Amino acid sequence: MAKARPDMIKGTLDMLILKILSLEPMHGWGICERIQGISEDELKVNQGSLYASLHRLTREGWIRSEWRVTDNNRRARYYALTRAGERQLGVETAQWARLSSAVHQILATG
Amino acid sequence: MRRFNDLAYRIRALLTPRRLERELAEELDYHLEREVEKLVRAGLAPDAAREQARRRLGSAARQRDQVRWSWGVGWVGDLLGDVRLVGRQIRRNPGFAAGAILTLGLGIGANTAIFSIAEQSLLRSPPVRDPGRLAALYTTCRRGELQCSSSWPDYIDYRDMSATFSGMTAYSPVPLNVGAPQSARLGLGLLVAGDYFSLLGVGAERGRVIQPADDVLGAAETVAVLSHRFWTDAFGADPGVVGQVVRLNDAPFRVIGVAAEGFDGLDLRTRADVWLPIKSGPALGASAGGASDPEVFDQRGTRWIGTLVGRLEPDASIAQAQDEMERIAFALGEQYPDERAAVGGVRGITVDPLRGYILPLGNEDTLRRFIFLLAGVVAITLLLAAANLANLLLARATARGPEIGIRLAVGAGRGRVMRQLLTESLVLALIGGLLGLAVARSMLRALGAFELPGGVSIADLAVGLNPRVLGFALGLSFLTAVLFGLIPALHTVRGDLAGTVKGGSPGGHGHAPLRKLLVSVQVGLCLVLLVGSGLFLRTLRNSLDASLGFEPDRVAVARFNLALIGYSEERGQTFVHDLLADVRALPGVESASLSTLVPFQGGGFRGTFVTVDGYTPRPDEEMRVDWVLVESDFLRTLGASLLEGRELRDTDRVDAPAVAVINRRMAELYWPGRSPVGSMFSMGETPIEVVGVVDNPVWAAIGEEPTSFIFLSQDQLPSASNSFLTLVVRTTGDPDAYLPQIRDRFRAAEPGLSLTTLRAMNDQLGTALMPQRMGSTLLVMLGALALILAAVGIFGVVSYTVRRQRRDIGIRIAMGAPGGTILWGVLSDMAMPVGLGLAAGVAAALSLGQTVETFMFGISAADPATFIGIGALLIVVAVVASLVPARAAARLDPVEVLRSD
Repeated sequence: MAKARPDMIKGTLDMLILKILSLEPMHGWGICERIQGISEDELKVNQGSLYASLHRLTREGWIRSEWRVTDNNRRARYYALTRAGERQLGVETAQWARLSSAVHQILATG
Repeated sequence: MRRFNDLAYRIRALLTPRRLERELAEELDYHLEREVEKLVRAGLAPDAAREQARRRLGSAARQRDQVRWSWGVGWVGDLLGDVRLVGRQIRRNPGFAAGAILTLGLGIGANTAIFSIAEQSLLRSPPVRDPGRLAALYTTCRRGELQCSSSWPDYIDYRDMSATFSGMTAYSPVPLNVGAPQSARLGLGLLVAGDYFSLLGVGAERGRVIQPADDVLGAAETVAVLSHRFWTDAFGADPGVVGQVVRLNDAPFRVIGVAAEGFDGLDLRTRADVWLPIKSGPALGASAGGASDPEVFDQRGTRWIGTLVGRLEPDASIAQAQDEMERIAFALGEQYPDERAAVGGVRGITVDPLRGYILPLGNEDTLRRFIFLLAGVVAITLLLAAANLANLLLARATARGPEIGIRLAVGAGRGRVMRQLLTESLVLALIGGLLGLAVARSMLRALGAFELPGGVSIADLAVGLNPRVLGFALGLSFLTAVLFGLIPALHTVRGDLAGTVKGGSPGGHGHAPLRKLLVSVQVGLCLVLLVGSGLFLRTLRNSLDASLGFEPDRVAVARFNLALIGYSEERGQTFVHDLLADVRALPGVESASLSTLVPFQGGGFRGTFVTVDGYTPRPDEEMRVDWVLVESDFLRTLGASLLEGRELRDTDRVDAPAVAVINRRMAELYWPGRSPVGSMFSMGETPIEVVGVVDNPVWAAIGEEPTSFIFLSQDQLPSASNSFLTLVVRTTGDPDAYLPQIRDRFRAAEPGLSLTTLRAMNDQLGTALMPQRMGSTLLVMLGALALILAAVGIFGVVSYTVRRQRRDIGIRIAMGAPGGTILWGVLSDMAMPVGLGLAAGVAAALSLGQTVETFMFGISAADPATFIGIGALLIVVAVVASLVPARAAARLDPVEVLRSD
């Protein structure tokens, strides 16, 4: 653990979860692996925050969960995006784009 | 839709938390397994992989806490979780929980019961409009009594001349026999001025209330208003009663309404059942007392209206009203000097703002003090219970140290653990509070047999569990939980973790001094309670042993009022003489007589002014004496000792010269150093000869300062037969056995007459000592509880100390220390906290002495014998409670001890 990995910016974890789940239904560990894999371990996902997010998103009705048997015959909870979740992902992606372009612009000046 | 989903989720989370928890645990387990697999694939050995995965993922407990918050149940969910934990805790250690709940239940229950009494007697205001602007007015007698009655013309002038009062009303109580004489029931009537209801702002539940137009002399029809309670109790809440004519003291009155529910006058003791216009008094006949004579409404030189109540103008203060009323009273005195002189003059007037109900006159302070005393006693008990629990919790914190340490170590936040501990205290306190409500109910039922000072029967107060009382119990439970839970909780989560998990206690050495301090507190509070019970018990004994100036044993009394059934004076006299002859002829009756008043009856004497031949009063001296009208043989029947001369005889009749027996006090005042027998004094225009002197019989309270007293013959002032009279019977055996016969004699003579009292004289005495009885009963009960709690506390601390020092003690025994030395060492360890507690307790008890002194008789509140005795008792209890664990320490097997550590 030589390299200190940045903590997730608040609120972005929800968006990333929604994005990953828009590809296919997935369990918590899988989501964690995906985020760390795709970001080449740049993003650290705290396990507590991850499950807290998952449960909160379920409460909001943006994702739903079901218990499935995995390939190697174990029970795991899979999360999947709902219709509302798809819409929310759109909203959050657009918001993120606006925010990051604004931040870029500020950093680019001077 | 989203809102609904959210809500449904939250509800599910609250209702089925176990399932959610299980699923979460499974989810986290799965996560861990996959992480381990990943590491194994990367080449780690399975054990090392698991270890690393655990470390990487962090504390599962903390994660669960984190996720739980996302369920949207927040603190409610946490709380429920904590409560479930407490449930497990209680199941694991039911003895501790039961003990805690029981002590708390008793403590909170006693406090709730006393609060209920205080609430009903002191803290509540009558249901009238803006009671804070009302004030009672009393004229001040020259004898210094602050609360004397007024005349009607004075009342009218006070009312009309005042600028600080927007209105003023007047009322006077009258005993009532409601209904036809044969089926009547007794009630309390209030004769009220016409503006009474409008001034108080009280309306009618049914019909209407009394208006000024109803209050006229010689009205074609006299009217009455019933209280809601009396209407319910006596008439079964029959709506048809309104508009009907009922007989009050055998005179017809039309019921015009029922007053608003809950209103029964302004006085705490005399709760009104029926209100009548004050000018309908003459219609009631002699039973209306002062108001029975229509001319009294024009006579300024009289005194009969008990209470005046005024409503202050919005901008007027009590001080302004007091100033103004004094000016008016003085001006009236100047204007009507003869009338003033006739009532012994009026010195002043007191404007007394209404603070809640009007307390029994002359007993306000005693009543307040008594209730404060009770409240103090129960508060001390609860404090003691809380100290005891804090001590037990500290002891348990030691036992649970490792468990708590582990919970802290696995990442549960300190705040969270503390909250869990406090939740436990809270749950215990709330269950204790619930039990307390049951305790309070039965305590109030038991206390219903007692009277507060001033003759306020607890049974008559609507004591019970009203919302205010319930709120009090709830608040007290919370407060107690914080009181006994906070310090142990703080101590538990403090301290180093490593040591704790290894088997020490968190906060380790901080406990011992704290626990000893708690023992001091317990011992101190216990001493205060026990000294209190000791003083009350000795007072009770002293009172029972005290010389009363008469012999109460074997005497029965029966009280009745012929005016209530419409008897005329002549008819009354005949009845009384026939009855006496009848009763005196009963087998086993030694003697019998009649009197307007007997000792310990309650109720006032009649005062009058006298002049004594050959005695010149000092300029400021008021020669007022109390008088009682009696039949022949009264003093002998009472068992009073006649010092000289003779007793009143049958021959002292209207046609014979007026004679009187006086008491020793009066003889000493006006005939100092010589015999008064044969001397003359005058009551108004009537010359009276002193024929005998009786020792000072106690009349109202044991330990009272005797006042001047004269006994006159009932036959010489026959109007007495028209008020309350008491038949006094001296029997040869147990007076209770004669009560049925006496009742039969009354029934045979007049079936319509109901007796207001029929009991043994000693029972009547008992009533007078009610506050002392109640105080000692309560104090002895709570004192015993306190003693047990203190013993438990000391035992707990010593056991704890011994456990903690096992190793040291073991080593010392191994090195040859004799058992006695060990025993002594353990005992002397407690000497300091117990001694400290005793000293503090003595100081506290002495400083409370002033409050208690009022209720003491024949003993000082600082009585050394009581203090020393109780102190010795506490030391013995402390030694015994310490001895058990100390002996166990002395018998420790060093090999065993050292091996087990």
